[in-house]
Amino acid sequence: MDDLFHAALEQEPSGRAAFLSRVCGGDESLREEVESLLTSHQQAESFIEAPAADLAADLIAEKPTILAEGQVVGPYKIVDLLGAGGMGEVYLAQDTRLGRRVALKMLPAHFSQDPERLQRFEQEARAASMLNHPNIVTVHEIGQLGDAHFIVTEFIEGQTLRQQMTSAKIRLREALDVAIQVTAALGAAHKAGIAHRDIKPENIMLRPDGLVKVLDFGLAKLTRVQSLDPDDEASTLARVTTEAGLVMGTVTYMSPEQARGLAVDSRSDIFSLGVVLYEMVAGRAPFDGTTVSDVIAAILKEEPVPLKQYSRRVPAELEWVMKKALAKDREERYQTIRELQIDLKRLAQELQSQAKLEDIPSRRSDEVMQDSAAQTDSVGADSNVARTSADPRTLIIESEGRKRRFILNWMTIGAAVVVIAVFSVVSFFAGLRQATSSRPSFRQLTFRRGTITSARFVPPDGQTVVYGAAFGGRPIELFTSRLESPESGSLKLHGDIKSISPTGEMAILLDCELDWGECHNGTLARVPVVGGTPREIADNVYEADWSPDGKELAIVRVVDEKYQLEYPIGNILYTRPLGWIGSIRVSPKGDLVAFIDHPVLGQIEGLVMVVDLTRQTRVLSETPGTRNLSWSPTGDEIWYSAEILHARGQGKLRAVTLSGRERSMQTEEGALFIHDTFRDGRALVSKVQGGGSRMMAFSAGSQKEVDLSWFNWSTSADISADGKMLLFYEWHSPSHTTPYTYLRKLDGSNDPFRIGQGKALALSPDGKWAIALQEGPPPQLVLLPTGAGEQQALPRGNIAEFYYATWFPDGNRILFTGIAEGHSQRSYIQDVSSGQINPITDEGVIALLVSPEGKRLLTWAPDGRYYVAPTTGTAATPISGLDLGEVPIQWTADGRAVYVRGPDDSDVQIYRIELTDGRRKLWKDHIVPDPVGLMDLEVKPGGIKITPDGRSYVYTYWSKLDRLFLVEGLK
Amino acid sequence: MTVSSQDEVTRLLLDWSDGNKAALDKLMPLVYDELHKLAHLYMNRERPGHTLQTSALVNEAFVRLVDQRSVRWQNRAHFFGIASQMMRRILVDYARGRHYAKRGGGAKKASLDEAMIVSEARAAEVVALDDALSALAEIDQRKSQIVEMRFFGGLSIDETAEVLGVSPGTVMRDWTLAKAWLHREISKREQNES
Repeated sequence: MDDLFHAALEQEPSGRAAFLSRVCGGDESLREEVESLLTSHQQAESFIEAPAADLAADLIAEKPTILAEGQVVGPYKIVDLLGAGGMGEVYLAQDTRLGRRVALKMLPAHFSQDPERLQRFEQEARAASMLNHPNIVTVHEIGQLGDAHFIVTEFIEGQTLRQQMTSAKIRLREALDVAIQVTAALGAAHKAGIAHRDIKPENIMLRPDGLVKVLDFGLAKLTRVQSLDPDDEASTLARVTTEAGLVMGTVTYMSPEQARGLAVDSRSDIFSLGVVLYEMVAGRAPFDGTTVSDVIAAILKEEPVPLKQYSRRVPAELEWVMKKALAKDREERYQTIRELQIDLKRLAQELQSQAKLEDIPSRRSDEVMQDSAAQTDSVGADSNVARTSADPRTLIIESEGRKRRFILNWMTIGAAVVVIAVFSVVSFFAGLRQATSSRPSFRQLTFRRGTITSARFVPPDGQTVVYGAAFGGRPIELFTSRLESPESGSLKLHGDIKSISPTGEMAILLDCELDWGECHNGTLARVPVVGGTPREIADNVYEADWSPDGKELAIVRVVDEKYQLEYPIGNILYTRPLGWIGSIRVSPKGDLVAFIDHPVLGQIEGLVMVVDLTRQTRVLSETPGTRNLSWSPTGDEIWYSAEILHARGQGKLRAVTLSGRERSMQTEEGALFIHDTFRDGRALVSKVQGGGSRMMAFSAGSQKEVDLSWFNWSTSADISADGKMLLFYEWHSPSHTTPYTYLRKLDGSNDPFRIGQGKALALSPDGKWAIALQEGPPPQLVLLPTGAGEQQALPRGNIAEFYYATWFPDGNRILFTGIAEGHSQRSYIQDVSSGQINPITDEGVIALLVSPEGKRLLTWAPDGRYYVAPTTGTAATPISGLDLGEVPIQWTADGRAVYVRGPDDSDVQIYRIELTDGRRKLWKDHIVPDPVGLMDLEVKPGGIKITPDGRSYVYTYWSKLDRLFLVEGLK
Repeated sequence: MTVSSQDEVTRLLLDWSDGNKAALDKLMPLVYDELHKLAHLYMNRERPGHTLQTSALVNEAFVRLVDQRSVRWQNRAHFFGIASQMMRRILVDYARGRHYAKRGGGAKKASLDEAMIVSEARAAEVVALDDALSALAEIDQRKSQIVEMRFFGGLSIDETAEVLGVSPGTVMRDWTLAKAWLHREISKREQNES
């Protein structure tokens, strides 16, 4: 037989059959045997060719205990081993500097060999952590010990969702709550452009208090091989399934696009979370199987069994949510995690109100078996219910496909090596192409210091531009510039340019508000470029753009506190109730309006979208930090500014097609804002070249104000009682949704040190604690230790939103303002040790300051006046002598007067007003040192802070400086 | 590895080579332990560009376990035979453990996500291969051994030939046919299961 087999192998494949019938004579069984082995030989290819080396690595290295108790890694002292495995060991450790417990994860060396991957992982892990989201595990440090890398994160007491699921039943209510909290974490991460890529029960921690924490953002980047040819399903499957270290646990939660090895985006996380939710409710994963191939086949082809089969009382709405979250085509899935969150919250509320949630435990698999006994009779206990109830056609297809993929699984190391090799070759050529193509040229058009609000080419030749700018601290003004001359002339119009029609008619916004370098909320008017009187068209307008023929206008305006996009005016195409609508541009054909949809008011995170005339919308991109957009010269792409990080001088121009294909454009460094494109390919771009949020401080006994800003986005919060320390927070950049709290000496003699996350609010009288607001959701007041100790979360009670907070002089109580569910804003006193919260003002009334002896509050009432009210709740006395718009900012040390800031933002005066008779004295004629690019003086309490003795102070102001460029050769 | 245990392994190896079957029973756990330990060490000292090689592991186990001055070439071959067998056992034991853990038995043991890291699929496939290999051993002991040494022991064709005392050409031929046979066997079992 052996000889026959090898002899046949030596024949040409076409001649084998004839050869065999000749040599086997009449022995049919021998012939069949050899033939089947020959077939098998052809299929076997690389089967078991690679030794089980990677298996050995995976299987054996289960618990390499490298670090012993008491061993020290940098400042961390190992306390205990929490867990171990192929992804490294996790230890409980003590941070000896800060006296807090941390979790320390050693990454195995083979995960940290590729410095580029490691760097990407670090970036993502840090970025996710910087979001400072209560549902995202905080990464304290990513460090290195010898060759090994380690991650230090906050230590979370509790268990993983996996442990929870195996040890106890999860009620529907709990399942929804966990899922909602995960959506909150993912929402924050997605907004910052970070996809998790590995959402699974092992990465979801449940704290005993019910808080859910999502672990390991960015880690997936370290372990996955990127796919190159998404069309080749078989080979990508092979890659995905054969990569060493890829686990069943992970495969189960993969989205179809992930399983195919395609590039993934945030919608992949939505699918994975859908799988987790399904498993919590059903007690088993929707796509199950005994091998990776089975599971992948199920993910790609099978529809999950309706949850009803596991528990008859699962609400129909949840089935619908599952269907939408688990849609195989990501275009049919929830497009943003926020949409899923809204549906889940609605469902949770609905169920709660119907008291449906009582006594509906999610079913475990044993109960399921009973439920569907009729089905399971025919299959073994190990079979999965999904398959038995699936379409029989799927079953056949699957068993065929399954065989093939099983074999593919054996093409282990080879496949990964090929991927890497191909990747290197492709990157090499990509690099070559980039090196040989010309870079775009930037020609500076403006030279004065100030803020550029917008700029447009003037038709028909595009040799003239009109731009809006606030130069030298002056209001926004329109300028025009011939491109051949460096001089700009003023159009003598105070407003901003939004669009210029082919006939030279400008759409401008008059009397608009300068809002972070953009001109918002003005009166829309039209006026010819050549001059004339503006004709007003509409009020409360934020954006405007002409149709290609110059006959109609598309606008964004606010009506009933809602942003709406109209095109033509009066025809509402899109409304955005909670957030805002950014830059709008009508397509060259006039059939679409591109715009940026910002779901949250006050945040620049947004989606690039288009809407057509039938109100159909499409999300094209979710890149973070998105601003201005413009149609590409050919009209087949939208060019926009993204990933803007002012503080780092970063900002990228990106392009996206109408089918959502994205690319980053080739540009120089610098935070870039695209303003306009011309049909010949030229573009107008402004570049941020300075500014930020700065803190200026004056320390008692010193000669002059010093700039205490740490990075570019520092905001002052409080000065210690002895006048020596400054508490502030730092955003790092405006696109970060969460800040860090720092302390530094008011005289600027030391570097700031970070004490925790959140927006700093106030320092305790003994200087040992800072109150900070972690914005959540849910928002949370925390006490951050200024020395050793751990962060303490203050009980939230039923408070849904927090504003500012300050301490009582006794250091035992805090005063804060917030909104409780179902109420309007008011102030509360919270006892720090007991956590007890009691309202101290009537609804609508806010207490701002506590008097030095702690018995009086300075309050603001809805009548617009300020009062002094005893904490005992007896009658409040109005403060006399205050002018309109003046805001009390500090009680004097003797409690007999208050410091008050004047109403002007750019030239603030500070007065001392006696409470007894309203006498006023100018305390400081406050002038911001550099009015150029000035956007605002921080108005929140702490934005200007004076010590009670009036000898030291700090204030914060915001500015932005940019210059306009003509860019040629942009691609 | 202390000198005394090295002496012991060497003695057992010699005894076994001389036909003492009981020596093998005593030898196997010692080899097993050493390989196991080495695998851990290897993982911990892994450097960029180095992956864990089972053959290197087996080699090192031999160097550490056996006093090479006292053994002959044949003893080395015997040792590699055992080592490959032991590697197979170690991997299959782990794989079976994984396989059952997934079915519920060991789920609680998994403390963190990382503990679940090992590829469940790979585990299932190792188990499948082990079964098929046992079936092959009943028909053709040498082919089964060759696969054991090549796949689990990580030995090259030439090394395998040396250990078994046959020509590399024979190993190559056996290997090709064994692969086809195993592949067919596993596919058949897969089909029967589904």
